[in-house]
Amino acid sequence: MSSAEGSKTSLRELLQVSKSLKRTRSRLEKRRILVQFLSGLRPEEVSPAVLLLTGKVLPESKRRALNVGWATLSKALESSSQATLLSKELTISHVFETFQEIARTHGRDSVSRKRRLLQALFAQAAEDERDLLLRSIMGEMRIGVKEGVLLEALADAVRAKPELVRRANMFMGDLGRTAYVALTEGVSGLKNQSLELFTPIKPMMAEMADGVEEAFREHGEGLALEYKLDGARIQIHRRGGRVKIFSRRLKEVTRSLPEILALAQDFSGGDLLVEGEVVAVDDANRPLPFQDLMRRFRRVHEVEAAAEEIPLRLYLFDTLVMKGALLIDQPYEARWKALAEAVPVELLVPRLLRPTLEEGMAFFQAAVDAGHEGLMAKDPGSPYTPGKRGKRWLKVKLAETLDVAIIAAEWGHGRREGWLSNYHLAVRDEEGNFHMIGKTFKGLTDEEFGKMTRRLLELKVAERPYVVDIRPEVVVEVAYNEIQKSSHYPSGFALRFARITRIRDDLSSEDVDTIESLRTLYAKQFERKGRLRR
Amino acid sequence: MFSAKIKSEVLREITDVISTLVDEAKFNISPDSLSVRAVDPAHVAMVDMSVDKAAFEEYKADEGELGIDLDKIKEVLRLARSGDVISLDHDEDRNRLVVHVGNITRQMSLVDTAGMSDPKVPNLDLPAKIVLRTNEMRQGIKASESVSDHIALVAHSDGFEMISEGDADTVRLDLPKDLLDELQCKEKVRSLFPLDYFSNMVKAISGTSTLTIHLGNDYPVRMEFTFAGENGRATYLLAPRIESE
Repeated sequence: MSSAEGSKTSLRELLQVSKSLKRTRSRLEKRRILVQFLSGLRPEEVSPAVLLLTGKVLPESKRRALNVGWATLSKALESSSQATLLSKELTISHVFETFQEIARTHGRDSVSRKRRLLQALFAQAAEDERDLLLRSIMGEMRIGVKEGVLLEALADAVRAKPELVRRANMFMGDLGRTAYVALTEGVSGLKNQSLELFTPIKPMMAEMADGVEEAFREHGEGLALEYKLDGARIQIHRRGGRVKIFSRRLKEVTRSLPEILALAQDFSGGDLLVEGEVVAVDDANRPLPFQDLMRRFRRVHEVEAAAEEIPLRLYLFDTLVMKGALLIDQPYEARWKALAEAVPVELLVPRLLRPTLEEGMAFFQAAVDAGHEGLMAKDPGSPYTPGKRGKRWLKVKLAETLDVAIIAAEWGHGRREGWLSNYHLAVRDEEGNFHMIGKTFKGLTDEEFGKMTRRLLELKVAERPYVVDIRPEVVVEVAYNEIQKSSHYPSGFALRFARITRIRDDLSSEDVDTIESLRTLYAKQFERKGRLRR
Repeated sequence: MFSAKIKSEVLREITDVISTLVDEAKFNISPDSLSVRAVDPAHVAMVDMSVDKAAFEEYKADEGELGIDLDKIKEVLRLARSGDVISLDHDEDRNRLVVHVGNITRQMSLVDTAGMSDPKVPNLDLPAKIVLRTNEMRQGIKASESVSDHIALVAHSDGFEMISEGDADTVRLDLPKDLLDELQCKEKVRSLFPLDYFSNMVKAISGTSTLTIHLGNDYPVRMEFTFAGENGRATYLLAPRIESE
């Protein structure tokens, strides 16, 4: 890394690097270009540069904070003819500081202040630089370097094993910070990264399985089956007797869940991190609709009253830390044992270990009969891999539903006039690109249409005739009758009779189901449905 | 060391001149005066201001710097009654500013000035010079605000104009030569500016009766004025909008 006296790196240099990365298909060459660029940066430039290269403006935890709407953005662009007094070449640091300043700006006049800051940035930028900034602000993931290549380049730069960099990144959950630690502290800095209590960690995710049989095929006889609950996932951290609870999206929700907090205080096991699902229940302990649960999560005032009105049940299914010891490298079965020793048995999610296929099918039916979604199948030998989606965990659901992102919406006609009512639905690929697989205007109430319209307009990034393009931040669960091959959508697939079954406020765009899952589900359909030979 | 007493009205004038562009500022302190040079976060406008010792009721200082959060000064000013004298003392051990107003003492933490460098004032060659009454200018801005979000300043040998063109309406303030205190202009010049900045700057100089404007073609404007009973001098620079056809 160059000394602090070295000159600041310009946005132009970053743009050149980004262009040469696009030109080559060779992974090795990409790594070489990245190593050379990253090693020449000043320490404070590393994180901002990595964010910009991967098409982001702020670290993930702060990304929503930019809060710049399309209106502000287009106004700033319009008046990018505003000159500045100190004309200098844009530097990476200056760009980052401006974004931080925009994120900090709130309260009175914040919209016009944000606009001015953007204006100044655009005024100093050349056309291609402006393009890069715009796409980053709008959160277009299509641009940029893929995380995998970047992690490998970091490993090359500090002569570490790629696995070490990947692991450190998993704990930090922020590529920019990982790059900073790697380049400033080297291998020892990377080795020092670990899970910290009270810092939420991205949860492990599951791929979709088409049925209980597939789970058996994938995991073999030794698998474990757990109820897949129709609730919200939480992680409970406890250190020195203090408890903090975080949502699926890593937001602290301790204050909204006093009864869960009380439960957690009584666990044995010292300092710990346990993971589970909270479900809203009625007097008879039957699961209540998901919306009622979401209301509890949003509630910070009059929590007590809400707790009486919508009681919650906690079901735990994993632990990452117990008695202060990190367990993520332990196999699933060992983690479950540690969990079972520390918490009351009635808080454990209903589970079946090493069932026969018949028992597994019956267990699935029991879960569905009790009002739950289906089952989770877990490979008993699997470690916990934060933030990763894989086949070590599989979800088996009754309904054919997918979690998809809304990427655009069409203005309604007739009764739906004035509402954005036809939603373009998309799944994602490994690299975070979204692929459209259908549209739907079914499933929402009038009230929900109104709310959704307002929400989508806030995420608007462009307007075409009849269609509004939006940042893919709203996740909905859709049911469908069939997955069809489609020549209409570049994804190659289309959902038949898609309808929205739930608005998943608890999920982010990263939780959206993958095109890979869709492909598998498509192939599986024919095991049941038969296929027309052509 | 820094220890001063100042009338609340004068402190308000100083604060207003700077706070229209920045929330925090580095005050450069010397035995005879106090000065600030700052550029707004968007780099569109700059203020360069100094106030002589004479503006204060009492003033004792060595060379130094104070990083001040101007919102905090405004909070103090809200406590002051007309005619109140506010005392300001730098507590160097704790790096705080101790502010007395009436019977209230506020211990004010200071802002770290490490990252705050004095911006370089760009060297501008501006051919036209106009001296006019600030009131006239304020009228012109008031008339423009509902019409457009930018304003053109025009000088020619016969006078000075402010023109605001919106989508539907146009507002124009004409000040012929005889209504101006001074006009030096051989060839017509015109520059367009963002109205929100321009308006905020002019509103900030409440205690000023006349204003000197230096203007060029599609070039920044320089506005010079005195305040605090002629004991303060300030320059505002504002970058133009570039008009594209």
